[in-house]
Amino acid sequence: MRIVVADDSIFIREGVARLLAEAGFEVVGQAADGDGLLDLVARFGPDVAIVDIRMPPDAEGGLRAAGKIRSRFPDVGVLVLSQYARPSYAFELLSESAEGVGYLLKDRVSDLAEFADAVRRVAGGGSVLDPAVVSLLVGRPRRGPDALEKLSDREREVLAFMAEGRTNQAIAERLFITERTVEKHVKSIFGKLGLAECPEDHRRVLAVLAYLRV
Amino acid sequence: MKRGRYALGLGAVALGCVESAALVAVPRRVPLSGLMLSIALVAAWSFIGSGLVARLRRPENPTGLLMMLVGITLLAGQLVVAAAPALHTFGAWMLPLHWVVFVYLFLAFPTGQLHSQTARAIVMVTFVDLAILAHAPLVIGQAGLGGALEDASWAIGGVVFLSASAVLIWRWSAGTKAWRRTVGLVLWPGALTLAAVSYFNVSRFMSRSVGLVPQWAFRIAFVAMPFAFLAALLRLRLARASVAELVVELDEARATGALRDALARALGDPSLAVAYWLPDEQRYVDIEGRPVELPGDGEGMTATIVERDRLQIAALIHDPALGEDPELLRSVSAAAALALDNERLQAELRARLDELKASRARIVKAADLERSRMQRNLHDGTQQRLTSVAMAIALAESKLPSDPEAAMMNLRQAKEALAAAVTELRDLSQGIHPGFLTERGLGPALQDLAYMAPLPVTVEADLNGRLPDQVEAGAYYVVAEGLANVAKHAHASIAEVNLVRQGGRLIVRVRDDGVGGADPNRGTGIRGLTDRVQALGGRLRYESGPGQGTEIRVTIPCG
Repeated sequence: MRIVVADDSIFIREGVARLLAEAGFEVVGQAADGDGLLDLVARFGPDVAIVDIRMPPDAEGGLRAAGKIRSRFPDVGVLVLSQYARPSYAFELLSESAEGVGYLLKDRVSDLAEFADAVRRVAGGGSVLDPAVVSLLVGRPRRGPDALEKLSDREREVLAFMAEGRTNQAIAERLFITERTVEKHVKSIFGKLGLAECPEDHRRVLAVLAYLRV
Repeated sequence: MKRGRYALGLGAVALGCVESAALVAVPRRVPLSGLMLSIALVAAWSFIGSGLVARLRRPENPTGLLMMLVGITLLAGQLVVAAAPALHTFGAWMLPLHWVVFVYLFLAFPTGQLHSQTARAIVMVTFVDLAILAHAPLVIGQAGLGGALEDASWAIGGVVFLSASAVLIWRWSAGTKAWRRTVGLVLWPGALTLAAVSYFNVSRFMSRSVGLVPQWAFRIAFVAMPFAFLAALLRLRLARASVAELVVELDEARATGALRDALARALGDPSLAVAYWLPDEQRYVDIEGRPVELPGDGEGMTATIVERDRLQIAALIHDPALGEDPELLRSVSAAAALALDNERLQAELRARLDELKASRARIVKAADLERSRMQRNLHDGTQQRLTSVAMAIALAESKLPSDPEAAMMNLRQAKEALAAAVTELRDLSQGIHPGFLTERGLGPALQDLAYMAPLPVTVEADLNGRLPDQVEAGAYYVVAEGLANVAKHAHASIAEVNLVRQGGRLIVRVRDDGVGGADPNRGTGIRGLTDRVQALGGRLRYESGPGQGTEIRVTIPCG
C-alpha cells in the first residue's frame, strides 16, 4: 500500500514514515508543506496521504491541502493528524462526505496496530474519527430532551464505535459479541434516535455525526 | 399652587383691614390716643405686610403666614378697648395670643416648623400661660386664687420668654457660618426682643413699673422686627447677585479646586464639597478621582444634584441651611453646570487613571501567578515524567542483551510516560494560548469550547471574517472564563454565547439561566476579565440579579 506523509516537523514526518514502513506500508514520498504534498499526490497517486493539519503556507495549510486532495483526487484516502482533538475540524472534514477520510490525534501514532488499522480503513474508502472527539460529542450535555439518554450503555458504546467509523465486524470484535448482535443494537439505536438506516458505513458515520453535532 | 399662595395671603390682608377698620371705628370704653392707635396699626401692618411679601416669595415656607398671623392677632387684641362687651372679651382673649405666635415664629425660623422638643415645649407653655392662666382673673375674679394665678402667669411668662431667647442664641452659635449669615439677622434681634418681653413680665410680677425709655425702645424694636425678617429674605435675594460674580470667576477658574472655591464663595458655604458623577460606573468621585459617598439624611450635610441637559453631572455637598434658599442653589448650579461638566471629565480621567494603575498591577500579578503555576506544572509533572523516560530507556539498554523481555517492558513504560508527558504539554500550551484560535478564528474556537462545556451551550457568532488577534484572544477568554464561571457557580441548565460585530465593535454576550448574584469582588473571575477587556479599550458590564441568571456583556473596539 503506497503512502505519502506530510508534516512540517521533520521528526514527526520521519517517525511516522518509519512506523508505517515497520507496519508494512510503502512510504513513497514526504512533504513539508501543502504545495509539496499536492505535488507528491499528483506524481505518485498514493493510496493514502497522511497530512498534518497545521502546515505552511499558513496555520491551516494542511487542512486546505487535505480538502484539495479530496476534491481533485477522490481515489486517494486522506488521514489528517492533529495535535488537538477538536470537533470543529472533524465536522469540517467529515461534513459532506466521510468516504476515505480520517481525523486522528497525533498521539495515536504511537499505537502502531491502531494507527495501521486507521490507515487501511481510510485506504479502503472508510472513515476514521478520533475516539477523543467522539467521546466529547457523545458525552456532552444537550439542550432539551436528550434521545441519547434512552440508549442502553451497550448501545452507547456501539454508537461511539459507529461514530469512530468502525464496521459492524470491527465493533463485534471489540465488544466480543457477534455481528448479528451488533446489527440488532444498530437497528435499535437508529430507531431510538429516529434516524434512517444507512447501508454503507461511511454514510452511517455522517448520519451519526449530524445527530451528535446538534 | 399659585392661586393658593395669593388666596391665603390676600385673605389675611383682608382680615387685617376689617380689624383695622373696626379698631378705628368702634366706640371705645377707654380713650385711646392717636399715637398709641398708630403704633398698634403700624406694628400689626409691618408684620402683615412683610409676611405677605415673604408668603409670595417663599410660598412653601410657613414663615410668611406666621408673620401675618402675628399682625392679625395683634390687631384683634387691640379690640379690648371696644365698648361692646363681646368685642371687649374677644380682644382681651386675643391680646396675649400674638405673643404665642410671636414666640412660635422665632423658634420656627427659618423653616417655619418646630424641630426640637425644647422649642415645642416652650410654645406649649407659652400658650397655656397666656391663653389660660393670664385670663384667670376674668373668669374667677381678681381676688384670691385669680390674682395668684395672674401673678404666676407673669412669672412663668418671664421664664418662657427668656428660655425662647436663650434657644435662639444657642441655635445661632451652634450653626455654621452659612447658617449664621442667613438667619443671624433674625435670631439676634429676636433673642433681644424676647429677652425684653421676659424683663417686662418679671417687672410686672414684681409690681415694678417699667420706665418710659425701655417701653419706647421696645415698641420701636417690635415695629422694626418684621423688617429684620424681610432683611433676611432680602439678603437671600442679594446672594443671587453673587451668581453674576460666579459667572465671571468661572471664566477664570483654571486651577484644580478653583471651581469649588468659586462655588463656595457664591453660596457662602466654605464647607462646600463637589462630587462628580461617573455615569459608566454609577458612582461619585472627587476632583482627584477618589470615590465619594453622598451624605444621607441627618448627616450634617446635604447633597444637591446638578444636572446638565437633564443628565446628572455632579453633586454639591453643602450646609443644610442652603436648602432654605433653593433658588440660589438652582441658579448657582445652572451657572456652573458647564464648568462642572468640564471638571467632571477631568475627574473621570483621573478616576480612570487610578483604575488603570490598579488594573495594570493586577494584570502583572496575574501574569506572575500564571507563570509560577506553569513552572510548577512543568517541574512537577512533565519534567519528572521525561526523567523517568530517560531512566526506563537506560534500563532497557542495559537489559537488552541478557533479558530482552524485561527490556521490552521498560520500553513500554517509557512509551506510556512519554504519551502522558505529551498530553500534559498539550494541555499546558493550550492554556497559554489556544493555538486553535489562531488557526480557526473565533467562531469555531468558541463552538469547540461549547462542545467541551459541562452544560449545553449555544453559540451564535455573526463575525463576517477574522478579527485582530488581540480582540479574538480577548473575546475567547471572556467566553472561556464566563463559561467556566457558569459551570462553577451558576447552577445553570443552559448558557448562550452571542457575538456580533457592529459599527467597528465586537459585542460579546455570555448569558445563563442560573442563580445569579455574581459578586465581582469575590474571586478574580469578573475582575480579571474586566482588566483584560479594558486593556483592549473595551468595556465589560454584567447583570446578575439573584435568581435572574447572569449576563456578561463585553464591547471591544475592533477597527
